[in-house]
Amino acid sequence: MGLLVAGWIVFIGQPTAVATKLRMVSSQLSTPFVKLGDYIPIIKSRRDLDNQNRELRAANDLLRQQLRAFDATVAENLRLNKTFAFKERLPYRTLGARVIGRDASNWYKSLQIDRGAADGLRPDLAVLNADGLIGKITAVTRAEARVLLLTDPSCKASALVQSSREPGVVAGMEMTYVDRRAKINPGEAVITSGFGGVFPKGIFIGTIIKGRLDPQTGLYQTLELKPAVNYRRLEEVVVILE
Amino acid sequence: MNMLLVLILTLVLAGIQARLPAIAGLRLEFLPALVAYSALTFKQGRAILCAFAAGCLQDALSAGPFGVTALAYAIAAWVIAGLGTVLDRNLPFVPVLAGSIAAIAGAIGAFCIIGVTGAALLKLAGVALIAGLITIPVFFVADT
Repeated sequence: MGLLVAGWIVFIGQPTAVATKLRMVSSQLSTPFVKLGDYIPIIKSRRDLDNQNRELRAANDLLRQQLRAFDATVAENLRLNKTFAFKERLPYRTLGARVIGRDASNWYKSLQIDRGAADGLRPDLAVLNADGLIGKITAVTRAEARVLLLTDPSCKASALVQSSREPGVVAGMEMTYVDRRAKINPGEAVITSGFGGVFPKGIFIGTIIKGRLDPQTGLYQTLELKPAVNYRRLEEVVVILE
Repeated sequence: MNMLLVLILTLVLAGIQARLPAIAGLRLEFLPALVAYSALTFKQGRAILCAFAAGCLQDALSAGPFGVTALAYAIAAWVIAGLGTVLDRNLPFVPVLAGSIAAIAGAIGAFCIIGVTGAALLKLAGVALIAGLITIPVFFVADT
């Protein structure tokens, strides 16, 4: 019997005309039994379970996608709440903006925001977020503006060491022209001094990492700063209009 | 690929470049590769025009003064086109070298504005290397 079945299987696998006909006949013969399977409860319930399983998997995939979107929305909501609360606390007329691009070059550090001259923006307005100072606006079109980041050496801000009130100039996250006799402690905060007319007084810039004497003149100290803002993850910013 | 298509590709890649995140402080730059492609494919005048357009786009999407990169890329295209008359474009190192030359030209333009430091020179080496490597797939796409 086993040999017969094995021979049959081998025979129907051959691409001959006889085998093809036999295959058709066999297929037709077996069709009623396949239909019959639908009426046997255990087979029917297995099929139903398979279908149900497929539908549930699809629903699960959809829900996972929705959950990911929900998580992103919650994160955005938290960020926006933080920015909005910060914006409300500021004693200036401000405008919120979204970051829509980065600098296309390797040599300058800037951002593109989705607000422009039509919203009242103009060059030399300060840009910040809840963490601290970000930079200033350098170029404006009708609907967009370019923000030069404080990490760019050409963006300079007059600053103070918060505790000792030692003045200096911050450029490229270095504070230069600090008195050589000033006692500097790592971890001290550096804030804007308000001189220069671009950045309002008291905005947090960063903390001191270390200081060294200016190697060329020896007259001043140069302080290395840790920025308060994570410039790589900026998504929303606040522009001070007045 | 004709000049118009290269200009359209320049426009698209400049837009993409501005939205790419920097990795370890280095941003992928496609435009030097297109400058190299133009210089080794078109006649000198057209190549310089394409390079100038690419530089203008780069400057428009950057905080640097408008026109500096355009001038640097135009000079690079002129130099590369001159080299192209004595070098075989189909040799693999030629496009890589041309892409690196274009990236170095752009960097020199930027150095005139921001100044040169040791860190900037180190970064220049990385930028030139990456620009050279990107040139290979850009040439492949543009040629096909």
